[in-house]
Amino acid sequence: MISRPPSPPSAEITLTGSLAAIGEAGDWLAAWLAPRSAPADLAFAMRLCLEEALANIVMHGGRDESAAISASLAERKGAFILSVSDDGVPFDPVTAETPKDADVGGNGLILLRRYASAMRYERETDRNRLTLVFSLPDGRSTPDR
Amino acid sequence: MKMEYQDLQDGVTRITLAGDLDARGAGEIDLQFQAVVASRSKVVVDMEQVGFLASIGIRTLIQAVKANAGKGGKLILLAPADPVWKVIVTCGADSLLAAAYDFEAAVAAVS
Repeated sequence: MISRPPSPPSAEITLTGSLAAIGEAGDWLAAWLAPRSAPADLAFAMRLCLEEALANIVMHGGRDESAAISASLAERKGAFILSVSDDGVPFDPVTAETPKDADVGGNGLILLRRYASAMRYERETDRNRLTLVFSLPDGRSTPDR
Repeated sequence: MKMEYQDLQDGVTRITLAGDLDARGAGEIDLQFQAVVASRSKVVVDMEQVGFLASIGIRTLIQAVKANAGKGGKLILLAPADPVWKVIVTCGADSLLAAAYDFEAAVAAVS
Protein backbone atom coordinates (compact mmCIF):
# COMPACT_ATOMS: atom_id res chain seq x y z
CA MET A 1 0.00 0.00 0.00
CA ILE A 2 1.34 3.38 -0.93
CA SER A 3 0.94 6.01 1.71
CA ARG A 4 1.11 9.69 1.03
CA PRO A 5 2.00 12.48 3.39
CA PRO A 6 -1.08 14.30 4.61
CA SER A 7 -1.63 17.59 2.88
CA PRO A 8 -1.73 20.62 5.20
CA PRO A 9 -5.23 21.21 6.55
CA SER A 10 -4.89 24.92 5.90
CA ALA A 11 -2.93 27.18 3.59
CA GLU A 12 -2.32 30.88 3.10
CA ILE A 13 -1.12 33.07 0.26
CA THR A 14 -0.22 36.76 -0.01
CA LEU A 15 -1.01 38.56 -3.25
CA THR A 16 -0.59 41.93 -4.88
CA GLY A 17 -3.48 43.83 -6.44
CA SER A 18 -2.96 42.72 -10.02
CA LEU A 19 -4.90 40.62 -12.50
CA ALA A 20 -1.88 38.33 -12.75
CA ALA A 21 -2.20 37.63 -9.04
CA ILE A 22 -5.70 36.25 -9.62
CA GLY A 23 -4.24 33.58 -11.87
CA GLU A 24 -1.60 32.81 -9.28
CA ALA A 25 -4.31 32.38 -6.66
CA GLY A 26 -6.23 29.99 -8.90
CA ASP A 27 -3.15 27.80 -9.20
CA TRP A 28 -2.73 27.90 -5.41
CA LEU A 29 -6.33 26.78 -4.88
CA ALA A 30 -6.00 23.97 -7.43
CA ALA A 31 -2.88 22.67 -5.67
CA TRP A 32 -4.68 22.69 -2.30
CA LEU A 33 -7.75 20.92 -3.69
CA ALA A 34 -5.86 18.29 -5.68
CA PRO A 35 -5.31 15.75 -2.86
CA ARG A 36 -8.77 16.29 -1.41
CA SER A 37 -10.86 14.62 -4.10
CA ALA A 38 -13.27 17.53 -4.12
CA PRO A 39 -16.27 17.07 -6.41
CA ALA A 40 -15.82 18.90 -9.71
CA ASP A 41 -18.74 21.26 -9.13
CA LEU A 42 -17.44 22.20 -5.70
CA ALA A 43 -13.93 22.87 -7.06
CA PHE A 44 -15.50 24.97 -9.84
CA ALA A 45 -17.53 26.98 -7.31
CA MET A 46 -14.51 27.62 -5.09
CA ARG A 47 -12.37 28.75 -7.98
CA LEU A 48 -15.13 30.99 -9.29
CA CYS A 49 -15.66 32.64 -5.91
CA LEU A 50 -11.92 33.12 -5.34
CA GLU A 51 -11.63 34.71 -8.77
CA GLU A 52 -14.63 36.99 -8.22
CA ALA A 53 -13.58 38.06 -4.74
CA LEU A 54 -10.08 38.94 -5.94
CA ALA A 55 -11.27 40.61 -9.14
CA ASN A 56 -13.56 42.81 -7.08
CA ILE A 57 -10.65 43.88 -4.88
CA VAL A 58 -8.27 44.46 -7.78
CA MET A 59 -10.71 46.39 -9.95
CA HIS A 60 -12.77 48.21 -7.33
CA GLY A 61 -10.72 48.23 -4.14
CA GLY A 62 -9.36 51.70 -4.68
CA ARG A 63 -5.77 50.52 -4.52
CA ASP A 64 -3.10 49.90 -7.12
CA GLU A 65 -0.71 46.96 -7.20
CA SER A 66 0.48 47.91 -3.73
CA ALA A 67 -2.74 46.47 -2.31
CA ALA A 68 -2.05 43.90 0.37
CA ILE A 69 -4.30 40.89 -0.20
CA SER A 70 -4.19 37.61 1.61
CA ALA A 71 -6.23 34.48 1.19
CA SER A 72 -6.52 31.35 3.26
CA LEU A 73 -8.07 27.91 2.89
CA ALA A 74 -9.09 25.57 5.65
CA GLU A 75 -11.08 22.42 6.23
CA ARG A 76 -13.84 22.10 8.74
CA LYS A 77 -16.04 19.12 9.27
CA GLY A 78 -18.19 18.96 6.17
CA ALA A 79 -16.96 22.15 4.55
CA PHE A 80 -14.09 24.02 2.99
CA ILE A 81 -13.55 27.59 4.15
CA LEU A 82 -12.07 30.29 1.91
CA SER A 83 -11.18 33.63 3.45
CA VAL A 84 -9.98 36.71 1.54
CA SER A 85 -8.65 39.82 3.24
CA ASP A 86 -7.57 43.16 1.77
CA ASP A 87 -6.67 46.69 2.80
CA GLY A 88 -8.86 48.45 0.24
CA VAL A 89 -11.81 50.74 0.85
CA PRO A 90 -14.58 49.24 2.98
CA PHE A 91 -16.83 47.08 0.83
CA ASP A 92 -19.38 44.51 1.90
CA PRO A 93 -20.13 42.02 -0.92
CA VAL A 94 -22.83 40.41 1.20
CA THR A 95 -25.13 43.43 1.20
CA ALA A 96 -23.91 45.56 -1.73
CA GLU A 97 -26.48 46.25 -4.43
CA THR A 98 -25.85 44.73 -7.84
CA PRO A 99 -26.32 46.72 -11.06
CA LYS A 100 -29.36 45.77 -13.10
CA ASP A 101 -27.50 45.53 -16.41
CA ALA A 102 -25.62 42.28 -16.82
CA ASP A 103 -22.82 43.84 -18.83
CA VAL A 104 -21.77 46.69 -16.59
CA GLY A 105 -20.36 44.77 -13.68
CA GLY A 106 -21.98 43.32 -10.62
CA ASN A 107 -21.91 39.80 -12.01
CA GLY A 108 -19.13 38.94 -9.59
CA LEU A 109 -21.39 39.66 -6.63
CA ILE A 110 -24.18 37.58 -8.14
CA LEU A 111 -21.82 34.66 -8.66
CA LEU A 112 -20.36 34.91 -5.14
CA ARG A 113 -23.82 34.76 -3.61
CA ARG A 114 -24.97 31.92 -5.81
CA TYR A 115 -21.92 29.65 -5.70
CA ALA A 116 -20.86 29.92 -2.04
CA SER A 117 -22.90 27.95 0.50
CA ALA A 118 -22.59 30.83 2.95
CA MET A 119 -20.66 34.10 3.17
CA ARG A 120 -19.77 36.59 5.89
CA TYR A 121 -18.18 40.02 5.73
CA GLU A 122 -16.25 41.76 8.49
CA ARG A 123 -14.35 45.03 8.62
CA GLU A 124 -11.50 44.68 11.08
CA THR A 125 -8.59 47.05 11.71
CA ASP A 126 -8.77 48.76 8.31
CA ARG A 127 -9.13 45.52 6.40
CA ASN A 128 -12.01 43.82 4.64
CA ARG A 129 -12.42 40.14 5.39
CA LEU A 130 -14.74 37.97 3.34
CA THR A 131 -15.30 34.42 4.52
CA LEU A 132 -16.88 31.92 2.15
CA VAL A 133 -18.14 28.49 3.14
CA PHE A 134 -18.46 25.60 0.69
CA SER A 135 -20.40 22.66 2.03
CA LEU A 136 -19.29 19.21 1.01
CA PRO A 137 -21.99 16.92 -0.38
CA ASP A 138 -24.08 15.38 2.41
CA GLY A 139 -21.77 17.07 4.91
CA ARG A 140 -19.14 14.39 4.35
CA SER A 141 -15.62 14.90 5.54
CA THR A 142 -12.77 14.84 3.08
CA PRO A 143 -10.73 11.65 2.66
CA ASP A 144 -8.05 10.92 5.26
CA ARG A 145 -9.57 13.26 7.83
CA MET B 1 -5.88 30.61 -23.20
CA LYS B 2 -5.70 29.90 -26.92
CA MET B 3 -7.73 31.47 -29.69
CA GLU B 4 -7.91 30.45 -33.31
CA TYR B 5 -10.26 31.62 -36.02
CA GLN B 6 -11.17 30.55 -39.50
CA ASP B 7 -13.20 32.35 -42.16
CA LEU B 8 -15.49 29.76 -43.72
CA GLN B 9 -17.85 29.82 -46.70
CA ASP B 10 -20.94 32.02 -46.76
CA GLY B 11 -19.25 34.65 -44.63
CA VAL B 12 -19.27 32.61 -41.43
CA THR B 13 -16.29 32.89 -39.07
CA ARG B 14 -15.58 30.21 -36.50
CA ILE B 15 -13.57 31.33 -33.48
CA THR B 16 -12.30 28.50 -31.30
CA LEU B 17 -11.39 29.27 -27.70
CA ALA B 18 -9.49 26.76 -25.57
CA GLY B 19 -8.61 27.08 -21.90
CA ASP B 20 -10.07 29.09 -19.06
CA LEU B 21 -11.87 32.36 -19.69
CA ASP B 22 -10.87 33.88 -16.36
CA ALA B 23 -8.96 37.08 -15.59
CA ARG B 24 -5.76 35.62 -17.01
CA GLY B 25 -7.38 34.01 -20.05
CA ALA B 26 -9.56 36.99 -20.92
CA GLY B 27 -6.51 39.23 -20.74
CA GLU B 28 -4.70 36.98 -23.17
CA ILE B 29 -7.33 36.92 -25.90
CA ASP B 30 -9.52 39.99 -25.40
CA LEU B 31 -7.82 42.36 -27.85
CA GLN B 32 -7.68 39.90 -30.73
CA PHE B 33 -11.12 38.49 -29.95
CA GLN B 34 -12.80 41.89 -30.01
CA ALA B 35 -11.00 42.84 -33.23
CA VAL B 36 -12.01 39.67 -35.06
CA VAL B 37 -15.63 39.79 -33.91
CA ALA B 38 -16.02 43.47 -34.74
CA SER B 39 -14.87 42.92 -38.31
CA ARG B 40 -17.08 39.90 -39.07
CA SER B 41 -20.85 39.65 -39.37
CA LYS B 42 -21.58 35.95 -38.81
CA VAL B 43 -19.60 34.62 -35.87
CA VAL B 44 -19.68 31.21 -34.22
CA VAL B 45 -17.63 31.09 -31.01
CA ASP B 46 -16.71 27.48 -30.31
CA MET B 47 -16.66 27.15 -26.50
CA GLU B 48 -16.37 23.38 -26.27
CA GLN B 49 -12.79 23.53 -24.98
CA VAL B 50 -13.45 26.28 -22.44
CA GLY B 51 -13.44 24.68 -19.01
CA PHE B 52 -13.99 27.71 -16.81
CA LEU B 53 -15.73 31.06 -17.09
CA ALA B 54 -15.67 34.00 -14.67
CA SER B 55 -17.44 37.36 -14.78
CA ILE B 56 -14.54 39.01 -16.56
CA GLY B 57 -14.95 36.44 -19.33
CA ILE B 58 -18.67 37.14 -19.51
CA ARG B 59 -17.82 40.80 -19.98
CA THR B 60 -15.51 39.89 -22.86
CA LEU B 61 -18.29 37.89 -24.54
CA ILE B 62 -20.95 40.55 -24.00
CA GLN B 63 -18.76 43.35 -25.31
CA ALA B 64 -18.14 41.28 -28.41
CA VAL B 65 -21.76 40.38 -29.05
CA LYS B 66 -22.83 44.01 -28.61
CA ALA B 67 -20.16 45.34 -30.95
CA ASN B 68 -21.08 42.69 -33.49
CA ALA B 69 -24.80 43.39 -33.23
CA GLY B 70 -24.13 47.10 -33.54
CA LYS B 71 -22.85 46.44 -37.03
CA GLY B 72 -25.77 44.21 -37.93
CA GLY B 73 -23.96 40.97 -37.21
CA LYS B 74 -24.89 37.86 -35.29
CA LEU B 75 -22.82 35.89 -32.80
CA ILE B 76 -23.60 32.57 -31.17
CA LEU B 77 -21.76 30.35 -28.71
CA LEU B 78 -21.18 26.76 -29.78
CA ALA B 79 -21.34 23.90 -27.28
CA PRO B 80 -20.50 25.61 -23.99
CA ALA B 81 -19.98 23.03 -21.23
CA ASP B 82 -22.78 22.82 -18.68
CA PRO B 83 -20.84 24.51 -15.83
CA VAL B 84 -19.83 27.34 -18.18
CA TRP B 85 -23.37 27.90 -19.45
CA LYS B 86 -24.64 27.78 -15.86
CA VAL B 87 -22.40 30.76 -15.01
CA ILE B 88 -23.88 32.69 -17.93
CA VAL B 89 -27.45 31.84 -16.91
CA THR B 90 -26.80 32.65 -13.25
CA CYS B 91 -25.77 36.18 -14.25
CA GLY B 92 -28.74 36.58 -16.57
CA ALA B 93 -26.34 37.00 -19.47
CA ASP B 94 -28.28 34.42 -21.48
CA SER B 95 -30.54 37.34 -22.42
CA LEU B 96 -27.63 38.60 -24.55
CA LEU B 97 -25.70 35.43 -25.34
CA ALA B 98 -27.25 32.54 -27.27
CA ALA B 99 -25.91 29.01 -27.57
CA ALA B 100 -26.23 26.14 -30.02
CA TYR B 101 -25.01 22.61 -29.53
CA ASP B 102 -24.06 21.54 -33.02
CA PHE B 103 -22.22 23.45 -35.69
CA GLU B 104 -24.95 23.32 -38.32
CA ALA B 105 -27.47 24.79 -35.91
CA ALA B 106 -25.00 27.51 -34.96
CA VAL B 107 -24.41 28.45 -38.60
CA ALA B 108 -28.15 28.53 -39.23
CA ALA B 109 -28.61 30.83 -36.25
CA VAL B 110 -26.16 33.44 -37.54
CA SER B 111 -27.16 33.20 -41.21
